[in-house]
Amino acid sequence: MTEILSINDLSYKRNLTSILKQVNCSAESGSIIGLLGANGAGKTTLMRLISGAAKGFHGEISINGNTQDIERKQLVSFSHQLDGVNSHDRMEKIAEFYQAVYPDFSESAFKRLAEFLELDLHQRLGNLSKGNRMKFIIAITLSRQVQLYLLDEPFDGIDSMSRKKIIASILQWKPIDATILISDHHVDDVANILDAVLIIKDKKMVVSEKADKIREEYGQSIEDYYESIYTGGKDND
Amino acid sequence: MTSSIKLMRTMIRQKSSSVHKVIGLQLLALVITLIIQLWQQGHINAMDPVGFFASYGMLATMVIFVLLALRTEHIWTNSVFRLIPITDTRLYISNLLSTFLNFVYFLILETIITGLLGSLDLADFNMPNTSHLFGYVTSGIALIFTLLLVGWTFISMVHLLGKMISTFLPETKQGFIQLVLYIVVFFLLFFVLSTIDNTIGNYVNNFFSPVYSMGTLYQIIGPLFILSGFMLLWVILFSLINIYLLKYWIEAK
Amino acid sequence: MKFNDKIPIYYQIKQYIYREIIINNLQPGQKVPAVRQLAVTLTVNANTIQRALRELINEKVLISRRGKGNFVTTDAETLTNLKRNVVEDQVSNLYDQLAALKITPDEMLKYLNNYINSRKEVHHD
Repeated sequence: MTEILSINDLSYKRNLTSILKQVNCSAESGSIIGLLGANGAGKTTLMRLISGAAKGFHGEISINGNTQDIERKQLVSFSHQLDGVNSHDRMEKIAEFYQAVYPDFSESAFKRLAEFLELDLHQRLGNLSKGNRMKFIIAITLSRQVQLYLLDEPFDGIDSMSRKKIIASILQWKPIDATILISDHHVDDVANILDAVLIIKDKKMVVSEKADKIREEYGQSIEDYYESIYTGGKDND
Repeated sequence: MTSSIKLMRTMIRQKSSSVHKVIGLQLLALVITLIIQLWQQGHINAMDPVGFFASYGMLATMVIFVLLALRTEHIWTNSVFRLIPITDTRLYISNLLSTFLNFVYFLILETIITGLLGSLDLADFNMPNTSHLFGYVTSGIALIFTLLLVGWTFISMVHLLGKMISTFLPETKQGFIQLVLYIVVFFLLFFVLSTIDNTIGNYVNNFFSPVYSMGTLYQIIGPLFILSGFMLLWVILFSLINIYLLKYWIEAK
Repeated sequence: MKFNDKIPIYYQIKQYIYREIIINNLQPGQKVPAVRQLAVTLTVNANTIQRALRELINEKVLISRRGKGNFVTTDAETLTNLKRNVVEDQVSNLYDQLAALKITPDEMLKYLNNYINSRKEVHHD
């Protein structure tokens, strides 16, 4: 397998505060990787840096050998790309916008995903439940045909039915050679579908390990392992 | 990569909703005024509609300028736009140009409506009989357009500089401090720029001196174009600074 | 399917397919569902399914036919061995646990016989 993402000595500071320190990690193409860590550990910031949303870091972020902002924007689909969408708009109109401005947006993929996730596209984004809103975000994010998908906390605060549906849609529609990085502070949600885990603690990347290796060699569940990494620290929920 | 044309077309379409809203409100204000007029005086003169419409036009123009500025600024920090695979230079130009074209669209709509409302009286309208009409109109328009661009690019510069500076300050959730920062940046920039501008201004004034002494007005055409040219230089300078800030400092929210 | 998160998932998928074959849900020569479909039904990653299938193919329990998919072997010996291995696994678990309780092999047989008989009686009721 080839490396899709490689991060070397990444440090990032904002508002006089250090947010990430000397992060090193990599990801194999075609895999599903869990980015685990407590709230505020730096998961979202890391994704924002990878996607090109955040600027002014030290170190190197390379996606398939491309390090420029603009190249990364082209290779990455990030769930936060919907943050600034007008919530009065109907979902179909938002999808049209993505179709118009993202050359890699596949309308047919979007239709399939929206149908699979049972979204009524006539509805306005602002009227959706949290679960449906996240389903829509996932549908838009996965409809771009790119090599790396970044899903930030897709299961945060949503009902278990929506969660199951979202996981199924990821498994069903992920292109074989595409890589998905999913951040989560609730390991149980995703443990089964992960190939590998990255664990961030105190602004640093402390673990990069294959999921089955943790089970096989340490005889621990991902969750227990994650908690053992975080012992001493207060976990949040 | 996203094509600039497609992005600009999308931005123009999105921003045109502001133009339609403002014109709609202006027409609504006109209708209400006419009703009040009818109520109070019992009749409406033929020139009343166009007169009232034009008198609301000034306010409408100011409002559309501000609304378009707000929509332009909104894009600089919006993930929806900042994560589009396009260079910051192209994004910048698309944003500024789509704002500008919407203003032109607004002016065209205003002219058409004014023309329609005033058509009752068009018989009395005489083309000013002067060979310099074209020169007056184009030089006037050039100055107005470059002044608008100076306005928008200056607002962006204040916004983006303020944003950049705030990344070096302790994190604060208070919009108030951010606002104070914008005001400080605004006055600092204003002070620096007016000092530079005064030096240039003295030079520019020389072009206008013949205007004051001569009886004929047409000599103003040349100086107006030169002034527009200077304004355009400001626009380019501000834009270069803005693009630099976007590229290296301004993050998507 | 519920997985035990302490045991590698690919290993549990192998066990699952063994079971499906032994109880004839997957018959000799029958086609195994496609990777992606298995991934969705079992809610695991396609790579994990791949790994499990690859090992099953190496063990000759599944036969991979290019472009057609994976099929359960029709080789009787392999199937018999498979069943024996899976049963032996269970028996060895039981043996180890009873041995840990210091039960001798003879006692084990007695306990097992008694238990089987008691289950039979329940069945006859």
